[in-house]
Amino acid sequence: MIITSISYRLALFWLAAAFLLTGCGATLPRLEVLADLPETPQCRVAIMPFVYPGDFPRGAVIVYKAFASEMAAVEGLEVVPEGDVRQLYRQLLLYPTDLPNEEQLRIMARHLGAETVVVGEIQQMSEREADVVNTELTLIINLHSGESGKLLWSTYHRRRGEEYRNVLHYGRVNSMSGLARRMSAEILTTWIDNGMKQCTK
Amino acid sequence: MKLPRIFIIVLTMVLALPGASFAGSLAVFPLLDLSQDESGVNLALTGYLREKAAEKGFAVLPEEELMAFLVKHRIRNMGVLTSYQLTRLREELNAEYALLGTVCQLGEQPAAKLSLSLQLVRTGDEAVIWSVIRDLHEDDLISLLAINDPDSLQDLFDSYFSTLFDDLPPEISESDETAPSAGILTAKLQPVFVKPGEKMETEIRIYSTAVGAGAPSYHLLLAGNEHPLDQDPGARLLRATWLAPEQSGVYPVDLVAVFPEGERQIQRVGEYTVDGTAPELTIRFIGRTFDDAVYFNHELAIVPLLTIPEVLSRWEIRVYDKDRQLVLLQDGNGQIPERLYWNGMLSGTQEAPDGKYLVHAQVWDRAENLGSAEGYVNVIRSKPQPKLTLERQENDVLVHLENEVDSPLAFWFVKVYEKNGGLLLSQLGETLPVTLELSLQSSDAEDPLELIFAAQDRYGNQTWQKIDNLLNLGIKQVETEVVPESDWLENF
Repeated sequence: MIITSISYRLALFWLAAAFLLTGCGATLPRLEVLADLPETPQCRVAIMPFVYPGDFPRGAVIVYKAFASEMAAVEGLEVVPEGDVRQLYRQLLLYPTDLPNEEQLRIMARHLGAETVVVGEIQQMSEREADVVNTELTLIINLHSGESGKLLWSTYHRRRGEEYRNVLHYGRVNSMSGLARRMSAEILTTWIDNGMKQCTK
Repeated sequence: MKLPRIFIIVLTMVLALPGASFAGSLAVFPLLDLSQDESGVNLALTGYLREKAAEKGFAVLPEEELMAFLVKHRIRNMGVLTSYQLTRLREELNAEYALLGTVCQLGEQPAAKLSLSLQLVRTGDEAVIWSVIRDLHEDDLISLLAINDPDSLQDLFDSYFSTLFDDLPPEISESDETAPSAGILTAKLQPVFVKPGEKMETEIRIYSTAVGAGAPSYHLLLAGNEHPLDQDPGARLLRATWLAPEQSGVYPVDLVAVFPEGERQIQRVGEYTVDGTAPELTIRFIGRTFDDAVYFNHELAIVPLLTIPEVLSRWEIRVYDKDRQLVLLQDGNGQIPERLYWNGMLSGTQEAPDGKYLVHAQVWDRAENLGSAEGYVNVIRSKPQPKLTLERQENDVLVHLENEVDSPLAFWFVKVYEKNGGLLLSQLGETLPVTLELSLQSSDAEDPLELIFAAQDRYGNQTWQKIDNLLNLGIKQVETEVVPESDWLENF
């Protein structure tokens, strides 16, 4: 019996060590719910151009494309064409680098027929560190009411490509767009798990 | 024996068919290439994508037709299309689908990588029916034994594109039955801020996938009430005018498209704000205040303040002289400055004469409601003017000092120096006239005495004068302005 117990404890130790050393402590998006999502029959979402003050080349557009692509792929969500959003920015004399205020969001949402509006801000992004691939991305993605423009949900998400590694180098995310895609999918999963409505077309 | 032969023939025909057949016509738009710049285009990868789409069974539209479409509609930004452009694509090129894409990342250094974002849009209802973003890095293909590891970007392509279209939804081939749609191409709604009862007008350019007998009719929805529209069928232009309601508030304007089948599509044209309240403005002056009157000589601070803060469209400050003649005008757009300064000048070189002036401030809010406030100020620039008279009595000299200008003094001082530099008299006071008494060493003393006089009135005007030989009564004005301090002069 003693030998069995020691073996059991050793097995538990190695299991815990393996769990910790292989980077299984994945971080989920942190969601702050400030208000409930609207109860309307539509499921149309407008995604505003993301804002990124840093120097990663075309960083804001890459993350935007990844998020828009993932969101459009969610069955039951209707994403407003990006061209319509950009055209409205031009009409309202807004630059894509501007963060719209509540009133502007409300006007745009009504014009685009969107019941919710996504506003994204990239806090930090990097792909290499001292000639070694080391992707890292920090996002704040907010969900606003199209009716009032007010903030409903706020999501903070930070990930490194290394965190997706399984064994050796396998699984590691080596490109920024790949990391943005996975993080976008995690954010959308969190939203849906927390009650974001998907309509049946 | 016949049955197995027929079975083999049918089986051969089935196997000869492509794996999936997407009979729809597809417009493959040039890929936006972010690896170049914000508006880069990658025609090489676009061509590759066209080939792959054709292999999947799409009827890919000729490249020349698509380029002509881009030129005709002045589409300069790749990777995106508006709803209107998608509608035109369907009407002009009979394209059922549009493939829009962006090269997010592409390069060989320091490591080969490729990332594409693609969206397949159904032109009938502008719905995104398939969306994917896929990335491939050369490290993703490195195997343990380094067998067939990629060396270049070209090595990634096969692996990348071979399965790119694998998860296209099967419903694509059933895309013919799409609901008609109508929408706003451009909309003008003006004014956006209006007074109660004023005229509002809108001009809406529309598009519709339904034409002829299937085309919808349109009307406006103003605060829940239907309002007719004038329609110009040729230009697809809708116009309407109406009067703004009497009650202040924000009013939405919606366009309603009613299709012959009864379906209604509502889109927001915009909103306008009715504002019937004038801005409440107050004005304050920062100068020298005596007996509730404001005086200044060099600079007056004018502080306008809105009792209830609100957004303004423009403002104006007018200054009138005592004859109610306009002597100064300053105006601007947007918010009135928190503080304005008047330097007492009527132009770059002309000073405002002493006197009383009326400062009148006006502000207009975005609905052109007027708010105003005014107040009086006094310009006093005249400096104290000393007048000295001398009376000699034996060894004493009496100096009578008075101010020729009728303005109250804040203070004055006099100093008299002997020839050897000794201080004979120093006196300070607040009011004039005054008589000063000097004691000479002898009754016939003729050595020159130097007198320095300085004064400041209550409005801040200063004077400083020096008399080189007091006993000869010659008053010589050395400086009319305040001179800088020196080591031997008193501070002033």
